[in-house]
Amino acid sequence: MKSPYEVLGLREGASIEEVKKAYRELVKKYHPDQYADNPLKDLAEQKMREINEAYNTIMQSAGQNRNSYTNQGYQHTNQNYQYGESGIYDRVIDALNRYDYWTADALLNNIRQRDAQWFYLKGRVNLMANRFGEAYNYFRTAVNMDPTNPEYKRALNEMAAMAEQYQRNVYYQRSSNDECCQQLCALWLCDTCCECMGGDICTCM
Amino acid sequence: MFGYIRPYKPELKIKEYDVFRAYYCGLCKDLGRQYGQISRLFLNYEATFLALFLSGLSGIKPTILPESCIANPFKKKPVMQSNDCLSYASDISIILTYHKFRDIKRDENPVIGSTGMLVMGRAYKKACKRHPEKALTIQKLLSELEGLERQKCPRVDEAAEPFANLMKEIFLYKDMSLDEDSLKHVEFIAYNLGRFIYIIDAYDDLEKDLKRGNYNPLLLNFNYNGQDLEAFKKIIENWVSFNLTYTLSRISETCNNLNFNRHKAIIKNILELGLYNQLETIMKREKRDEESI
Repeated sequence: MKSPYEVLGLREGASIEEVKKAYRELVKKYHPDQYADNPLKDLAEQKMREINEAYNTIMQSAGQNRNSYTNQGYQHTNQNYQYGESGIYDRVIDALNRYDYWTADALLNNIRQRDAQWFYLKGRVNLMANRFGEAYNYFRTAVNMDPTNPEYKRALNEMAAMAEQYQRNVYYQRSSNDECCQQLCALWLCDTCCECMGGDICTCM
Repeated sequence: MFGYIRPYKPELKIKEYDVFRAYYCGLCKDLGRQYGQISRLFLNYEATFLALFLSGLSGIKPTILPESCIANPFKKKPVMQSNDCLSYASDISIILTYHKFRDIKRDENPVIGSTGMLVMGRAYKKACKRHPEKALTIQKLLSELEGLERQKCPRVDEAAEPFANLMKEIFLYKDMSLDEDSLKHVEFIAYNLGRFIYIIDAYDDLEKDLKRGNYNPLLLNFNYNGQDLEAFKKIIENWVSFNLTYTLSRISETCNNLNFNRHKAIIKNILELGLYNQLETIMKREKRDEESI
């Protein structure tokens, strides 16, 4: 059994900064996504698991005030379900920040109580995985469940705005008169959709 | 093969259109030279775009010369002279055509499928020999695709993944000396191009698949329960349209980050205007039918 430091290719007792740096580089290298169409995929996935375990172990023992990272989230589930969930959410967000949506998705799938944040995070995972239709659905559900949350609304609006800007660009390039009408229509449609879901691209309409 | 990747002619300059034609003709001639005259029948827009896209990125200087052709023996037309990108595109097109016939043999018409496979068999072997790894990966991804179809995968985005990966594999041509960032961009564009083609094809085939009782991810994703197809299309239209428009917007964004040595205008025309035009045409098709009723 390799020590967690060995897994990350470091000497025993390397500093937290070094651990983080090595971890980030290894994630980049072994991210299963890069091997999606490759026989090495299984190997990469296994390696990723080892790396994640090693990183979590080191971070845990470093007592980095990172209760949320550790398995405590799971252990507490019986006594305090709410606490356990939010702990996992922190880990999910952390994984997403490292572009490790593979781990994030696995963590999310373990959660049974699915609130607005769960749907929002699931949306982010899908967005990163290029599953845009799914991402859109999850964001929309999150906004419907909690219409007051600006973060969820922003995620949904960003997707809509991106598509709308592209459409506008296409109409602009085609640049004929009747297209202008369509362009306004598209803008109006986007805005209406957006308003339905609680957002607003164009406040004047 | 599908015919979705084509330029939007009204906004193309004539000189750009000539270059596109030159690639099309060049590919046709290259297919004939390497794989025999019959293979020229399976010339397609996807492979033309592949040749154009790769040449645009690579440092190879293209040579275009006027040549005559069987289809038009008396008038000379500009033809792209064979180069690495062009012959790579014809190898890939042979491999895909062969698999297409295998598909037809399985799902539609065993006679046509087997005949096609027989006719293309020799060319396929030759192409595989040239790109053994690519051929293997393509085969693997296609069986993944079939696997998902057999399992009746109920999510469109997920069902599109093997095909998206297939496009990614095809566009990563090893002889391109690209830096890491550019490679990432090419991967992203190719992957999402594959997504686009798969999903729009699923939408386009709804009626046919329903009639034949074939698998279609859209029917399962939106719990089709035997209602009128037009009504069903109405329900899913917005979602499909948004999903695809967003996909195209990301392709277009990534395309702007990529440094093309040449052909940038044509490539952008195809990726932005051409694909969106296909989307519009296919989404509007049933509306037009409705009006005529």
